[in-house]
Amino acid sequence: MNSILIFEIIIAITVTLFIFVSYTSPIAFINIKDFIYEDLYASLISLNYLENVSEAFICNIISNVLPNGSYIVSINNTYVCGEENLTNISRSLEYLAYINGSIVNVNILIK
Amino acid sequence: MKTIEFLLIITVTIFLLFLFINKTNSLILLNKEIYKDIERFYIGRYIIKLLTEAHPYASGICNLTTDFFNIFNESEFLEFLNRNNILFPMEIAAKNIYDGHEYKIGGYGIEYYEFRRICYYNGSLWLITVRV
Repeated sequence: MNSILIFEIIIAITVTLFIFVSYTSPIAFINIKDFIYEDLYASLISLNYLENVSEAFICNIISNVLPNGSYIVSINNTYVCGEENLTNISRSLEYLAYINGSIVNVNILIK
Repeated sequence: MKTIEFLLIITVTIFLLFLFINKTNSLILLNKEIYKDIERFYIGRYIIKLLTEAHPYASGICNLTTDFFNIFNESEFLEFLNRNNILFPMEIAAKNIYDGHEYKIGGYGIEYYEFRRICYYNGSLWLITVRV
């Protein structure tokens, strides 16, 4: 093997590696969880238009917006509904609601 | 340059060109699919937000108006699709979460994105679903 041939082989390998490594898709896939929050929050806002709100209302709303989602809902740090032993929580949402004449802190944790 | 070296260069060049064209072609096809998917997703986002946040369908966030329910009229629905330049199959549904009364219009394909919101209308809560 002469030096030119070795050089050509090195070039060929380098270019091939460049083609395989450098071309990655520039578009990232959408994480739908980021958008669920917007819908969940908008849905919780609809509680403001109701006169009588209960804990069951909040749970009903969340179960309808997240029918397949794993979540846990607590009001003033007390468990209300959802999966009690939820692990791997990736997102959380806090919301102030008016229930039975007092303002409560609704905390929603989502897997 | 020896003949064998020349042949080797030709072979390697053709091979590299083949790889490059093949890779580029598959990337173009993949990107087309991704763009289509993203377009479908954002159309769904746009529609759920339009129907539940903007006039004339809503007065404030998730406070539906009577005009919202006009969308379940077929001619109104088709006009809505044309107006918003929607080319994907789409279903819009509204279900009263108290009595289960449901309005539904349109249709959707095998793979679809689903967006759900609970909104207030006339003393009751409605589950609004957009599938696209």
